[in-house]
Amino acid sequence: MITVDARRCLSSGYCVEQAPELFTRDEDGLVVLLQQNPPAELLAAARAAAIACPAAVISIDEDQEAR
Amino acid sequence: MTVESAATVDPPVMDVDFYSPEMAADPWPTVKRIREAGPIVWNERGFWMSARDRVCRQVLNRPGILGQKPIISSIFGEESFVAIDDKARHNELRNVWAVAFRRDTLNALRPLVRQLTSDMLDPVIERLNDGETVDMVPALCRHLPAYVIGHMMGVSNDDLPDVVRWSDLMAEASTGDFQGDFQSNERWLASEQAKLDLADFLRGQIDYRRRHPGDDLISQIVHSDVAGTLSDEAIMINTRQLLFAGNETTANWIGQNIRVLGDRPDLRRELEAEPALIPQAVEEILRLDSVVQLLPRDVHAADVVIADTHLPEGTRIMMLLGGANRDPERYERPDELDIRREGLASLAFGFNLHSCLGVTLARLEAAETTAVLVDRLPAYQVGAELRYSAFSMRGPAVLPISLN
Repeated sequence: MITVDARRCLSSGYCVEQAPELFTRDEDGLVVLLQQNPPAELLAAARAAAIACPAAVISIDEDQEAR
Repeated sequence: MTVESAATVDPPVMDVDFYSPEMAADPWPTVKRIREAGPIVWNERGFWMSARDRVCRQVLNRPGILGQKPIISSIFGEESFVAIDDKARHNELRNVWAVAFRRDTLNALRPLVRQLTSDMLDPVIERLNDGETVDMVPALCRHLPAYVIGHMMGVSNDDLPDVVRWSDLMAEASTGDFQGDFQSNERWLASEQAKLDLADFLRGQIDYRRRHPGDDLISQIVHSDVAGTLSDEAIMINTRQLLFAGNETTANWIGQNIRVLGDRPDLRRELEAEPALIPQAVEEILRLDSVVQLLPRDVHAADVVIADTHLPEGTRIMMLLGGANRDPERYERPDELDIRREGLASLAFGFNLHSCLGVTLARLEAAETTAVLVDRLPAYQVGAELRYSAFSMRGPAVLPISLN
């Protein structure tokens, strides 16, 4: 399961670059999560986005991803 | 956004000299007056200004329309990615170093930052114990970030003092008021010379890395996929930008942390007891005393309206980031240092396309130096000779400390 904390978002855009299927930005530029429980094929991209985020606002709880 | 008929209002007008000594020493009364005058205020000196969080975010959210070229390119160089508002090209260049500045990569630098800080503190502690007053700017603030970024760039320790000196001189030009007869200004000329000297040095480094690739930042751009699309000059300019952007800014932040630890023994004791609070404490210090106080944007399109104010094409807006970071609409008790405040992102690192590439490195350096200081420095006080650099890039320029 992915969670984001938009309050600390810097709108750098790294997440959208890494995983446009999972992340976008709202009109204020803040991160918006598109899928909380991504399909298996998007997990690598989700992890890449979480690591790339300079503000560390993306968390992935791997335990809850068994589907 | 287009101009709605008669939807715009006449903006308030003020006359503020950002380069006055008062603005460096204590800008907050003036900044507050600007914020309270309106969301966007016309400065009689020929540009817009805003000290409100919401307005600054709106401006930063539209990089193509409200861009930072050409003003930023006059500091960093035409082809530096910090000056490029085209998203695809900007990201292509930024991504050369994206992995190097990622949290997981940078964590490996923690021991180095701690060791460098500790080494620089050894003589400081000795002098303090001898009853001396020590200026922490040359003793630690200025050198620490330069050594770290220099290390990341693969610059040898022998060359680092020169690099630090050039970086300082270049900073002068970004903070001084050179709007008038700047080309005969001594500091301007020194800054231009430093730029040339640093450029020569970096050209040599780039040439060497071409033949002897390593895993350093210079090798990373020289051997990157986009290197083929970059002239040698563009590689130099982007490398120089990297060095400069990280040095002065972080040095000022570290200085503010040292100042606060001296002024607030209660806070220091709190951090001693609970070092896990240090990252959020230094973040709060930066919110309250942001380093980049002024961030300019130029209007590149017709009919731009922000906060009901029409910003004509070709005009400039100066965002008062430190002022936005004290906006009561976003922060309760905005002028108060509260390290347990809810973790909202301030605008200290910018926002959107040009938000700081080095944010994670800066945070790491600010937190690690503070951790070592809290651990090793005896209780100290800050002397009355404390002086601030310019308002635009603000921090202690002279930071004398002595034992209580």
